[in-house]
Amino acid sequence: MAKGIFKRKQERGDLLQGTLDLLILRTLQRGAMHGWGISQSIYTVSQEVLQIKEGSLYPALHRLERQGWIRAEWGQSENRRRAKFYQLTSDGKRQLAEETAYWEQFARAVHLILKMG
Amino acid sequence: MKKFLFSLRRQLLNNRWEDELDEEIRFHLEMSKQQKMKAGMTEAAAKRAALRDFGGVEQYKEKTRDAWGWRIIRDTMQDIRYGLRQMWRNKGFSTVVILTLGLCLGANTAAMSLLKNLILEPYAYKDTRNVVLIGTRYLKIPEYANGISNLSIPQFRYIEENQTVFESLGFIDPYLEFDMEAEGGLERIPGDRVTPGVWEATGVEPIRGRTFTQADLDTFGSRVAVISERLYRRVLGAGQDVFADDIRLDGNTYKVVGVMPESFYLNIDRSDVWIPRDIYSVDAHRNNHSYWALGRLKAGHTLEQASIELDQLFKSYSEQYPEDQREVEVTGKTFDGIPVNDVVTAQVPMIKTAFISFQVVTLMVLIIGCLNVSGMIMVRGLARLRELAIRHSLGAGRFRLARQLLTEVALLFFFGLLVSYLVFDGFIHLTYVLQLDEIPWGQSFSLDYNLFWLSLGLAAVLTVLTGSLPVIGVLRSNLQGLIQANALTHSGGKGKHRFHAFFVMGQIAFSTLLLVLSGVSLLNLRAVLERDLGFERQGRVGVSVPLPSYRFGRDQAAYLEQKEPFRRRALERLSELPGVIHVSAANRIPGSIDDMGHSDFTMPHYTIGENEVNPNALRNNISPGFFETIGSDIVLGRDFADTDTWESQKVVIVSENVVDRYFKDLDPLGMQIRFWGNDLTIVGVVEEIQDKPFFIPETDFTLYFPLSQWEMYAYATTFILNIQGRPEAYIDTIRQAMLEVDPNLTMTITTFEEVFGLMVFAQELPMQLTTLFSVLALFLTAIGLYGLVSYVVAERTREFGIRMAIGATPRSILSMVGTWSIVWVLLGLFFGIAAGAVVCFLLTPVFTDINPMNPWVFVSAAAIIAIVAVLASLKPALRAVRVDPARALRWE
Repeated sequence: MAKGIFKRKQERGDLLQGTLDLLILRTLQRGAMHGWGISQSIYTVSQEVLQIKEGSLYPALHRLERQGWIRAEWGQSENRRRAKFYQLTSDGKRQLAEETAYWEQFARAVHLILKMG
Repeated sequence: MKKFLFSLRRQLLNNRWEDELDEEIRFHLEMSKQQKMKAGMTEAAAKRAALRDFGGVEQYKEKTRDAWGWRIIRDTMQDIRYGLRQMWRNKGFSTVVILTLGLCLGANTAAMSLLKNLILEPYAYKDTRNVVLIGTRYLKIPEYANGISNLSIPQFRYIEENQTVFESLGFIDPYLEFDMEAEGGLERIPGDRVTPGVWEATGVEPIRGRTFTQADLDTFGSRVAVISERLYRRVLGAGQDVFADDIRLDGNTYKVVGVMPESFYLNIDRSDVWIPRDIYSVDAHRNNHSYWALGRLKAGHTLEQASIELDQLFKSYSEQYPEDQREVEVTGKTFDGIPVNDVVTAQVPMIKTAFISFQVVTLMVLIIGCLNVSGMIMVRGLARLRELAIRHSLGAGRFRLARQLLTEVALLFFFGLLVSYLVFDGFIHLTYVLQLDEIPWGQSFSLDYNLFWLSLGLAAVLTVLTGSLPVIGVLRSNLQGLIQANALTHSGGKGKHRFHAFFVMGQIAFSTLLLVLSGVSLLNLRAVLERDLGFERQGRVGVSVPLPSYRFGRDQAAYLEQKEPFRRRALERLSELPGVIHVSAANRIPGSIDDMGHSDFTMPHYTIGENEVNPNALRNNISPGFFETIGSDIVLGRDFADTDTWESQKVVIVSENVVDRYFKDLDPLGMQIRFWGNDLTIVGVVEEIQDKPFFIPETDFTLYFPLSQWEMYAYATTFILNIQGRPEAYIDTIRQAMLEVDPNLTMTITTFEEVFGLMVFAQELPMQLTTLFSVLALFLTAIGLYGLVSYVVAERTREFGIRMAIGATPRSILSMVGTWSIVWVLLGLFFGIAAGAVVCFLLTPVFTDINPMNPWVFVSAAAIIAIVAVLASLKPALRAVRVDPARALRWE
């Protein structure tokens, strides 16, 4: 029975755990942005490869806010509507640097393995 | 910490936060929609596409909420809010569950508190476990083997000098009464004389002042007193400062040094004053066994060690008195101690039986109640599976739903708990109505929280075990599938009905059992009440008057000059009162718990056997006319007369059972009995009377001595009156008349009916309680049955509608519902009757006056259950018949 209770379906095409956080932080390095803006930015910058379910952005944003890596503020959007803008905190910047370094290291490792004879 | 505060702020701003999240997502969807419209989609298509790209809105909202740590708090708050709303919406259901829980828990806690306060732990000393009551034990006399009998002063002193196991040892001269000078004249108060060791042995701290020490006795020469909280309040109420003003007891002045708390008492009777007893400088009588000793075990010493040492001490003590050797041999006499809290159960086993039966009864009611609550919660939970499935599909997690169901159960429990406190309180008042406070040591009942939690835990385990079935159902079942199959309303019901019905059957069985028990105890009580006591109690009243030596003296001259003339004057004055038929005097009221001590007697013509002990006499000193006054017959010989005086031949009247036992084929008149070193001539034989309360094992033979030949030893006299009409109406007149004879008298006036109440206490109490609780059980069972049938009918409304639409008659529908419930009721009855038969068989020795296997009891119990069952299921069953087919088919 216990197994039944804990069974969770794994959604296909999910981003690697933690990757979304990295993408958000990196995107916000360019300046304060609202959720919609972040999703569009990730989509276009990744040359339309990384299609994330837009909704999944919000749990991640709130998680990051809770960690203290980003800060949220209500402001006016380009079409003069009220929107919630997120921006990096100094903690967030440090975290981004760390995660970027880690990711690069990881990607290099994967790259090396794929390249091996 | 910062994070936590952050969370907390969010939590407090909960609603605003929810709004903001909504707005944030709305903004996102709006932007998405506009982008898609720019790309050429219609507004509707763009809206759909935006939603699709976003994913499940509610799902992501839920996940976003999860991102914050305060989820548990928020969910719980929400669950509670939701639960309260649910409770309010289902007022009937909630009320029944809460009342059921409240009644059961309250009653059970009250029962357990009573049992604990009265029987299991009557004394509340410091580390009561280590406090031991020390006395003599008669190992070879079955009636006394479990209890402890009194000590004499030399025995106590011997133990005190030679023992090594007790760190402190106190001596008690119990059940004394003193005349206290109070504002309104003399007042008679109960008290004990003790040695200072008692304070150390009990270890109870006074609430005011201090207890007395040996140093006090040296300074004040025994004129110090410790008083009870009760007396303290009364005296303070009279505006007196007890510590500054001395109190006067029996004409002597005592300095009050301390006040003991209400919960403190030394013997199974409440005392108001404790004054020192000098046991060292007096020349104590070796054969006066009327004292107790309390000892506190040294750390690391066990009761067994104490027992062994006391036994050895007795051996060395009795070596000094070779003339006692035979008695010691035959009775198995020795010193021994029992934990002070075992005293009641050891000394009066019948009271223990009475209370355990009460406990069993309340436990059964608790089980019935839990079955009820479980059944209801389970069925309701299952009925809501559909609703739960819908909420699950809207994004609520399984755990979340399960937790919410549990919250609802917990809420019901919480309110049940509140109600149970009220019920408990009610029961405590009821104990006064039932006159349980007449049990002398049981005057303060308080809520024992440990017991309260224990009851609660018991109920919680029972209920949650079954009440959690729907929770497990939620966790396991394919909720989505349930909706699709629309299976919930029409099928899958059989199993749960069977479960529910099983519970109801259990309730019926237990109720039947309880009814049988209460019927049997009712019959037993009736039989006891109808027992021939050997004397009449209607219109009889006893006026107990002390003859304190400080006023009446203590020698023969004092008797002749003071006590005798006083008695004559009082008898004369009382007989002049209107409505008084007979007056006489005695040393106690027959049947009362007052015990004038056990003293053995011998008969010159009778040689006791090898392992036989001398018979014990229950000593009644009476004046001529006593038997006439109490309505008892003299079977043989004569009553005492005024010619039986101090100088004349000492005479005795014996009870019929003495003749039956020791004078079988002889004419007892004129034969001799030897008692306290006197040869007494038997001048009469009277019918046997019930001379002690029924719960005290009867081992003694009642002997009657003329007051005129013995009263010089008496410190009190009881005048007994036979009055026309209700004696209560005469109490003031009697008091007035007595004060005319002696204005300084203190007296206690007791009707024989009051005495009778205590006599039958051990029979009456189980009867009252079983009856009360079986009514409660019956009520709960009716609710259970009503709930079951209503629920089944409601669930099958659609089915009944269809059946009626295709031509079923109301009668056939009724019989469908009826047959179904009758089967379960019959099953319950069967098990209940079977269990009742077994229990009654086991209890045969308890029900002393009847054969408990009385078929009428069983038949009536079954009939009552049947009637209640019909009444409870009638209303919902009729509802099935009134189903309107058209409406029923729309029923979803």
